[in-house]
Amino acid sequence: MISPEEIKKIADLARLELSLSETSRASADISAILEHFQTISTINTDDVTADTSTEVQNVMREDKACANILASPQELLANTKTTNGYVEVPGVFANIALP
Amino acid sequence: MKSVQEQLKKSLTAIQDWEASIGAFVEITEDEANRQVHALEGDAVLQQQPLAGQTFGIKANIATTFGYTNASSKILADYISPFSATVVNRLLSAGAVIVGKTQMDEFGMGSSTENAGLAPQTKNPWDVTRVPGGTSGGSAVAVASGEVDYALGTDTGGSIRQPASFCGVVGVKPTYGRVSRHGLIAYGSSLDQAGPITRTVRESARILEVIAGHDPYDATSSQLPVGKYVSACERGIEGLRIGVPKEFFAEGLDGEVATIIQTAIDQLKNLGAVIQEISLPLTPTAIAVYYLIAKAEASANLARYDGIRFEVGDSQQESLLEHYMRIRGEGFGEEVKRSILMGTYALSSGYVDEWYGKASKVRTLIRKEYEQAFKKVDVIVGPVSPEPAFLLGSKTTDPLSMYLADAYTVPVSVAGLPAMSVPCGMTKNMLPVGLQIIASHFQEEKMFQTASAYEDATSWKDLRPPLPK
Repeated sequence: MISPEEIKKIADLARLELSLSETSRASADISAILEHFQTISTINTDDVTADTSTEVQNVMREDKACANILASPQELLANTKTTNGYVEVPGVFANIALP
Repeated sequence: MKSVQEQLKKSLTAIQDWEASIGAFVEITEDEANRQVHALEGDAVLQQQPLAGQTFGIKANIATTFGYTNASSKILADYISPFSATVVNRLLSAGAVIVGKTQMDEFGMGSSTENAGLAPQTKNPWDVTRVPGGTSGGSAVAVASGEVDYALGTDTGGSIRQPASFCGVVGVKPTYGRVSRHGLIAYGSSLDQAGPITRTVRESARILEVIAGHDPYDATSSQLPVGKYVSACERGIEGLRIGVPKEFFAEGLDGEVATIIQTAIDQLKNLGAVIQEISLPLTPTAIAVYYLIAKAEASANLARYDGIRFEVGDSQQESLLEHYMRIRGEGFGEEVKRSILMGTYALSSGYVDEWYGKASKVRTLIRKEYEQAFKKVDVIVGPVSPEPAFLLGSKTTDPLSMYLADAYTVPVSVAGLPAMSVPCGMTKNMLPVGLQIIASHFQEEKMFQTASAYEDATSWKDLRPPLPK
């Protein structure tokens, strides 16, 4: 139902590098799962709107800086590689070595 | 009355006795626990709080500023959270002592704690050849073995209730929005809830009173006042209307489990409850509805793990895109990758209406079906799982069979209802079986009222697994 080629396309969308065996396994597994899930197509949902899971709506607060902050900028960046406070990322274009 | 120092020592000793056999913890945070004990000893006000000195395990997907918060995934292995989850802060304000981060299926995906991305493999203390259940397996075994007094787990499709059932302890999933999700590593944002795992019903009630309540950091948290769960435990169930869905007793339910559950229901009747059979015809569709929504939400929630913001990936000469692809391909386990693929597919152009859109509409119908049922009954009861704890490795090659085992827990999650598992028997192989008690939205009192009446009339809470040889 979902071919290995389609899996590869989805994996690219999801930014997942998969091996050939992972791709074929995923194709088999997900096809079997979705085939089973097709039963929901038999349920009549005319005039039914999607559930929102909660009744709360439009939860807002004043547009004002909070007195209590969760963490300082330093703490927030502690798990990231930074240079002079800027987050380091690999170059968008291939093979750019950082100084 | 034990001193807090002695309570911590008791926990650490139990961990020494048990941990090699059951692997409940991804990490023991002993230094932090000692610091918390020290703080308690110097603070007379804190010593008066409802959970003073009680030892806790916290599931590895709940943020703590101490230890690692990694959801048992390689992609977050050494991540230290800059803030603690609201539920953690509330426990600490109540005097709790946190001993460690408990093991789980990676990112909350699984039903057996066999999908952990990091060591150890958690095992059921009643039979170490069997799974503890998942995804809060570590939390359940830590409580069942006595390693800690209590634990927090999270439940998206059954991940507190099912391991509680498999390990013979009490586990509570609150109504969606009852407990803050701030600081939980998100799996399915319209489904996730944190909740207590304890030996007794009253202890869960007490902990829920501490952690529940509106949180300005969680826009989906309810403003409704927190219920009086502890006092609800004293009400008794004379005249309480209990619904038993016939769809929960259909094909697929293990015969021994069915008998144990029926005996528990008879006991509820003896305690004065009025039992009636009800029908929830959409029950068989709930697995499809749940997984399509959960995996779709997960694919969005896990998009942030890029090896840059949350973790420093090892540096290689590669482009940004290559970096994303490689880090995520290597850092996520198989079930997580499969989940992301399925979720991405269900949301993709050309397929979204058929899969995610359709599932979301059937979800509304499931919710309405329960609302209708709750016009006639106060609580709904049934099994938590179609079978008791299965053998390690017995379902890992068949993901669909693993999903189908969630048949009775996922409809509750999809409808946003509160539910709990309370021990109600043992199989002839000495494996625990839990009774699921489901209440209407924000009616956790009725759930505790029922569970407590049942617990008081039985002795399952006194059973303890023997230390494995």
